[in-house]
Amino acid sequence: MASVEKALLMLRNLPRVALNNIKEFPEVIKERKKQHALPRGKDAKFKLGADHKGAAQRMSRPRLGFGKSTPGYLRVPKEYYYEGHHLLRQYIPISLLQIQRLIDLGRLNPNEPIDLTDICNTKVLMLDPNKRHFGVQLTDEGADIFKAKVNIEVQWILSELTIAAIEKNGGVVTTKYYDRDCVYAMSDTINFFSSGKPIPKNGTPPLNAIEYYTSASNRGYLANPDEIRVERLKLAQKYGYTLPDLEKDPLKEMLSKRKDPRQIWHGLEPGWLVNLKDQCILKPADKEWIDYYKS
Amino acid sequence: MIRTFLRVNKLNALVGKNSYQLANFSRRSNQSIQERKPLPSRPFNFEQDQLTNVIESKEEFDFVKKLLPNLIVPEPPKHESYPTPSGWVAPNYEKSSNLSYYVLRTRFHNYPIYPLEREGGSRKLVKIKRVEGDIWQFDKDLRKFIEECLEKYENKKQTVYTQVNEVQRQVVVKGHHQEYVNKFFIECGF
Repeated sequence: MASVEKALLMLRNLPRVALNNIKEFPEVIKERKKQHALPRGKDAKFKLGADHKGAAQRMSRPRLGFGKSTPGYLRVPKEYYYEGHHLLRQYIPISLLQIQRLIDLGRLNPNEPIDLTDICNTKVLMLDPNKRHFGVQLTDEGADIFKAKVNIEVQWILSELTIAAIEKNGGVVTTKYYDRDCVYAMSDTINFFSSGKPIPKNGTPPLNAIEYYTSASNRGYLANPDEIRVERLKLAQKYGYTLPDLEKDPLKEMLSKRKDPRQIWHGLEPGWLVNLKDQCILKPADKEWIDYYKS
Repeated sequence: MIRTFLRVNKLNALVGKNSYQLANFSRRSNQSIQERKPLPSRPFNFEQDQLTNVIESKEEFDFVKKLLPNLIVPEPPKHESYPTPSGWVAPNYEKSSNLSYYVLRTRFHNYPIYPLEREGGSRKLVKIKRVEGDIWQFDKDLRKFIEECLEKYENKKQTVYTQVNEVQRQVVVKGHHQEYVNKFFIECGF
């Protein structure tokens, strides 16, 4: 190979001249540096860094973020992680296993509708309405061993396995919202009746819970009953069990018992006053009171 | 003197007539206190227009009776077969009558077995309470049963250590063997 060819081959392999690999002459760089740099030493008009006087030398300048009219911690926008956390509704968990055990030991009666009052009367839970407890939530622990046929009413259900476990045995579930005043009354009945107040009228659910209580998949108390019938069938097909016929059931009367949305106890209506001492009930006869407590 | 009067006032409001006797016991100079009359009840000066009519009925009070809590834990009902769906077993007196010891149930009809953790979770114990009768024989049988269970289900050959508290009628087992203890109790019929 000739020397010319060799040189050409080398040129071919060498990098091309481009903007990224060219540089100014060192004299030019030096000049530019001189123009832009602050004068130091004897030519300097002021000292760089900490001077021989003032706040900088004594290190008494305000700490980072301060020293201006609005300090840094107020200038920067922020999002609180627990914002509004203390306003959330709390639901105390109770599992299907616990419910089954209470039924086995005779502390809950499955032949009558079970609601928040019955669960609180067993004294298993530490339900305190002062801590924003709005009732109980049913969890799916023990769904495999659950055998009872119940008409149960709880405040919150998250897993559909819970609903499936109850409906497989021919039971009925509903989720119902209760006002804070109603939870006070239901969690401690003796205390409430002896306070001499009339039975409260249940309020409507708050804005963020309306969707939950009107949907049939959650078995909400405000849902359309026809839709609930469809959802029951859908869930049975999903989990692979046959739905027992409610109309032929001997306990049909108990299983079809539902409360009015404004009502909190079966057989008792809002506005009535209970007298525990004389064992009687006082019902308002005045038209204004009747209109007020009407649902 | 003012202080005593205030006190009596409070008592009057709470207890009524009985407060006189209480006051007599506590104070020496009774005369001034005895002369005091009970406080008048809350004045009812409402006119007829301000009160509304009510209907009194006793029929619906049966619904109220269902809402009142049972203050005593009820006796569990009899089931056809044991264990029940939740795993509860009733005491079998025929089985346990042959033994020289017995373990009582708690007031909630459960076994008095309590798993504990000491030394920040590194020392695991199981406490058994309410042991009646020959506690040393109970301890011996329990240890033997757990050792057999460990060999059978976990393929482990190890000795089980226990502490016997004869005065408080308690036995503490080293290791979290609460399931085997449970099994032993069911087998004994406690």
